[in-house]
Amino acid sequence: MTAAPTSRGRVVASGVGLDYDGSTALDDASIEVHAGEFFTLLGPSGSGKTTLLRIIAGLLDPQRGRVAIDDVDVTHTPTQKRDIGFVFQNYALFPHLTVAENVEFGLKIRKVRSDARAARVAEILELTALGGLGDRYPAQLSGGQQQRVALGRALAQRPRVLLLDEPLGALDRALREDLGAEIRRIQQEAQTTAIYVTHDQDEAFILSDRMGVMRDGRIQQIGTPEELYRAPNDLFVATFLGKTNLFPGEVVETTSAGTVVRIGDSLVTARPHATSDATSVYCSVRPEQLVVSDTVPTGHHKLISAVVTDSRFLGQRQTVRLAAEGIQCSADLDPYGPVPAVGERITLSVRIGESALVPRETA
Amino acid sequence: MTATDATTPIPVSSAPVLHRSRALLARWALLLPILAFYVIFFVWPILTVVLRSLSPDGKFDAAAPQFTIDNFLQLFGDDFLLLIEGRTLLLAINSTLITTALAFPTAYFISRLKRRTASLLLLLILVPFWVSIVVRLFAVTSILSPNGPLNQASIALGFGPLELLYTQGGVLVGTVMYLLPYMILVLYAGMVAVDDNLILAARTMGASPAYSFFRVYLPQLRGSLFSGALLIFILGLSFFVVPALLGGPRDQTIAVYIQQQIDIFQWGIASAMGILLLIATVVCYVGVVRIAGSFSPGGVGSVQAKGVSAELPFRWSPAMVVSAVLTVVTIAVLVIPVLFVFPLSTGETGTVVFPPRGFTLDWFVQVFTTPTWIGPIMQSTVVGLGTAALSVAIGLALARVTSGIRSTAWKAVIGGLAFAPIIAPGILLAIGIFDVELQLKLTGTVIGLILAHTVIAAPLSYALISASMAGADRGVEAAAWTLGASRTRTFWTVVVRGILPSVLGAFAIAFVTSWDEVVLALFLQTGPTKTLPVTIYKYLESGIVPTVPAVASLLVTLVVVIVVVRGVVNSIIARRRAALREEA
Amino acid sequence: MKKTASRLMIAGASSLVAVIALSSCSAPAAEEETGAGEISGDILFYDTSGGVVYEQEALTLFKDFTDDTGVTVTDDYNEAATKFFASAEAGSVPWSLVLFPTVNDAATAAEDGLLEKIDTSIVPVDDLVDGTYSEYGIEVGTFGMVLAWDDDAYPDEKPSEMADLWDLETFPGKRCFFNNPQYGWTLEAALLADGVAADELYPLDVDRALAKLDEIKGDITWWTSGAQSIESFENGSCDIGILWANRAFTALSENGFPMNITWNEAGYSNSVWSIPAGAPNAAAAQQLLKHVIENVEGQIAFASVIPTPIPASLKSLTPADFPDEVQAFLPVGSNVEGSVLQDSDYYLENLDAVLDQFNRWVGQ
Ligand SMILES: Nc1ncnc2c1ncn2[C@@H]1O[C@H](COP(=O)(O)OP(=O)(O)O)[C@@H](O)[C@H]1O
Ligand SMILES: [Mg+2]
Repeated sequence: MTAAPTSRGRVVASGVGLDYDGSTALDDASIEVHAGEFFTLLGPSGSGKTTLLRIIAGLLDPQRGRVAIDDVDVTHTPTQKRDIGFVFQNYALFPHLTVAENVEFGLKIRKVRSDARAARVAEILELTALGGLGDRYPAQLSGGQQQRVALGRALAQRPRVLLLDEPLGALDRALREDLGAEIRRIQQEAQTTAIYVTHDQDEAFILSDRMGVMRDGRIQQIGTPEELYRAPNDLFVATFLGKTNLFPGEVVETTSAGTVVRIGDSLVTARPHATSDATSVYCSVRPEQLVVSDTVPTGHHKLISAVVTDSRFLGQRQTVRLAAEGIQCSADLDPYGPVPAVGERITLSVRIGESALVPRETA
Repeated sequence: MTATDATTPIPVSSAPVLHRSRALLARWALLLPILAFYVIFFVWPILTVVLRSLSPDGKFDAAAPQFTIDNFLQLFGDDFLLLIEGRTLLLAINSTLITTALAFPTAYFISRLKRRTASLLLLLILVPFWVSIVVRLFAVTSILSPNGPLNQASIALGFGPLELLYTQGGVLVGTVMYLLPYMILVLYAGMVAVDDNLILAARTMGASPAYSFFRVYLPQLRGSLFSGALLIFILGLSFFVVPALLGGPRDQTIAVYIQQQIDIFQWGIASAMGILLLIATVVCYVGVVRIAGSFSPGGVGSVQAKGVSAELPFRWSPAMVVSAVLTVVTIAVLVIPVLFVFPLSTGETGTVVFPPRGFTLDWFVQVFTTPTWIGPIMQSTVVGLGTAALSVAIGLALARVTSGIRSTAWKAVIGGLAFAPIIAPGILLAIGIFDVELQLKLTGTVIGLILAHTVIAAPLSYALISASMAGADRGVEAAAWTLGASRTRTFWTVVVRGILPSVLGAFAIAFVTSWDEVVLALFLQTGPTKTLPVTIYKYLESGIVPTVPAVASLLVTLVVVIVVVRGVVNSIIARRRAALREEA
Repeated sequence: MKKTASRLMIAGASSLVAVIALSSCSAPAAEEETGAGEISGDILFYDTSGGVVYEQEALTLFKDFTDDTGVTVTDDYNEAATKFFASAEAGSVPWSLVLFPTVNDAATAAEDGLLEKIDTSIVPVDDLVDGTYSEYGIEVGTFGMVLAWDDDAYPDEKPSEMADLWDLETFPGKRCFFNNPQYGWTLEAALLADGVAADELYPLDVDRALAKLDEIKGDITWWTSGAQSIESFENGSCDIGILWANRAFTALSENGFPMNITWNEAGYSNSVWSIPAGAPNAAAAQQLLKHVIENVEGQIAFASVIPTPIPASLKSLTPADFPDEVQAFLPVGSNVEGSVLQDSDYYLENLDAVLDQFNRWVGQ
């Protein structure tokens, strides 16, 4: 996306699949990662992210499908010939080698001359902010430092693609945010394509140019974080990414402004609903999209009326819980604006063409 | 004990001081009997031997001590002794090399297999490991004997008769057979502990399989390789049963020579030789710790099969084919002798011949109806149970004390001392304890033998118990205290219950150690009733009767049953734990 | 925590107590010495021959004794007298009867004060041939060390003297020798083969004997126990060698092996039964000696299977009193006319040196 199409590291996986003893770990997934892009595979644990990543790395052989890097089919190319870098969740640093030797490892294999090697190691240690730790052994480093060594080691030989499998999973929250940003910075500076696996959506949002949401060995949807958040294709993506309120409805018609859906006795115009021709849908409205008022503001459609059951001040927002005809929902309001009192009956509405529709019977 | 801090985090009153001194007292109360035991049955024996080695004629006179280094001078001035020393060293080196050459590919091959196949192959190594060495040597003598199957095959194939028994080659084969399981288990434990991701990481950086094997995989095994090699080298250096039974007069080693000298009261030179072995052992130990960082022969106590990972699946390659072939050789060397006792036990003839003539189970009946065997079976059982009970008691107490110690240095010291009896040369311990028990009038008694066996069995029990106690959650214990349980009660119902499988394992391992032990038992049993291995050993020396293979078969069967039951129980426990984890 | 400790110790102690209780069943009860004639309990027998020899003793002489007195004899087999010496010197002796494999062992023990005198008021030593008993023991189980061969291996010419062991052309095949020079007649045989006269054997010229043995060292299979000696013949490890006559008889009579022997240039030597000083059941042991000497029938029954008579020589007994088939193997009467009595005094003096020199030679 950001890099020129001529740069290295375009990865295309088409229809790759893998079964373990009959149960499917990866079900014919296809992705296309642009050169220089930061692409994230996001999904709950067990959804097949690692499997797909390892197939791209050549660490697992797919039973179906093909993998190509820079338009060369590498499906049967052994890992060591793919010219990639891989960061393992547990880092897999060589415990018998120092930090510098770990970084140097891939360079030695490529028979890089020793002065060039030393220069590159210094450069990498600089890049990963590890200067001065080159002579330490991995066991003498903190988790965050180890993580950066793993990253530096994967980048040292200038791989076409950097593959990262939950590299921040073992770290605590604060460190994760710092290091996440750093990973993105290093990737940008190193100008490589990155495919990043995580189950943490915050991480995915912060880092990714684009991302693919996975579930049960399948890729559910691919897009930029914003696309996925605003326009989920199905119930899973809608609920997995952030919080949402679901209002069951029936599709009435599709207009140029969007798809009209009947919720209770009101008609709501949502985003165009293209991916499925199901008529039973949920209208997904994010808490911050939900407007709580006595009357429907202009440019909005009424969803439903509801009673406020709870209201809490959470600093950045005021979360209001509402009960509406058997549906529990919550809205995030501006804490500095008017806040309804508990027990008050109000009307819920949403901006026209902003809510998303997802098929109801998503298995 | 030290978890006092957990219950009273803020020392506001004088209570913690009181607690601390009480805990200290309790710790010493636990430690003192153990300390006394080790001083009497480990330190004193070695000290006696040291003193004898430094006294003229090997007779130390406490009233008028006289010291001389003549005995040691003789060790290096006498051509014949130099010959024996050289031979011993050569045997130890050769058997260490051969054993490692076989054990490494075997352990590697097994570590690359699927869990189920790996468990099966491990069983094939564990069963011979737990079968007493004298039983296996009995089979080996039958196999190597001039009318044994090997020689018969050689003659039938036209190669003419082979000389196998009572030769250097025979001793080497026997020693390798004895050492193989130790090395395989140590290496296997090391190999399954290697993170597969390291190999994968090397690959992602462009390393070829050979490169990642030598530069990444092998360095991870450094500790196991050195520890295992040290263990088997020390065992090979001082093991005396194999050369005594399989060697001719020209295959004498230091250990055999020591036994002979003790037989003719030459305590001086025998003691000096024992001390020589001890020095060699200590030097090797220090060397290994220097090189490898630590001595950690894990896996010998308990080893669990771990399946190969999906990322590094089993693949046939030339190296793998070689490993497979060597694995077959290894398993044949280990398993064939163990199986060989069965056909021998059912022949009708009054002398043991191969192939057996006729079929009868009479010998088994005789085993259970004549005092010749009932006595030894009872003796072995009593000594084994006594040793196991005492070893578990020591193991629990010692583990309790060390788990409360914070200082890693102290832990290392206590751990190292506790393990010293295991790497002390067996023959040295045997003559030392023999000497001490003579003075204590314990030789020939059941108690004397139990105490001696405990010296070598307790360290194993301690290892198992302390490992699982360290892994156990001490918070649980503190939680029980907060619920009002007394400390004693907590210890038994929470701590011990929590590690019950390891306590049982510690009991089993101590029992088997005693049940199989032959060197100490040989020296210490002056009474009429001897333990099973010693009885078999005597028959191997003085001539086999047909009940010997019958007893051997029974012992093998017993081990198979125990090992299989343990394996099944372990896997059930593991599966249940996995299921629980999945639910959680 | 204190409680924990004491509990632990109690657990340990109680298991120890259980062990003691169990083990005391198998340990022989030390009996109070009772008056002559009123004996009971058990005699623990420090036995250095073991195997078939003890089994036969138990079936004949010891059984008769037990039947008459109720005193049992329990076997404690040890391959050498060493452990007896070690224990006796440390002052703990559980045995009441000891079998010394050689006269010189017994003499050493007597010299060191480790033995109790034979009570001649009980034991009828006058029934024994002079010189086959001493103050401290009676000689038993004379064993012959004879030239023996597989009769099928040499169908034509038969070996007749020790020199034939060195004649590899006429008598090919491996040679069997005991790897203990004293009980194996090894050095004596070499000297006899080298032309030393039988009456000039002692003191042994060990260097000369070993030089002679060097000639055939590569053809020797060494045996280390009686059972192994005949096994070696039976499994083809050797065709000719020096064997104990009683074992040769076992091979022939029990295993049907075509074993043949000659007493010519053979050696013979005696073992000794003694009672250790401070034996727990000495009175019963004195009675046992008396009983065995008087039990002539039992002696014949024993020697019919194991041709090493106990006691060694009874005045009233001649070879003709034994069954025909065993007579050729008995180390008595005309059999031993061409044989040599081993010089136990020589070995008493020189055993350590001879053994050391021999072990060095054989171990190289
Ligand atoms: N070695 C294996 N054997 C059997 N099943 C496996 C194995 N590895 C992974 N799986 C299964 O494949 C699925 C996908 O796993 P994985 O790719 O590791 O998921 P993720 O990385 O998204 O957590 C899971 O259901 C997992 O149980
Ligand atoms: Mg994963």
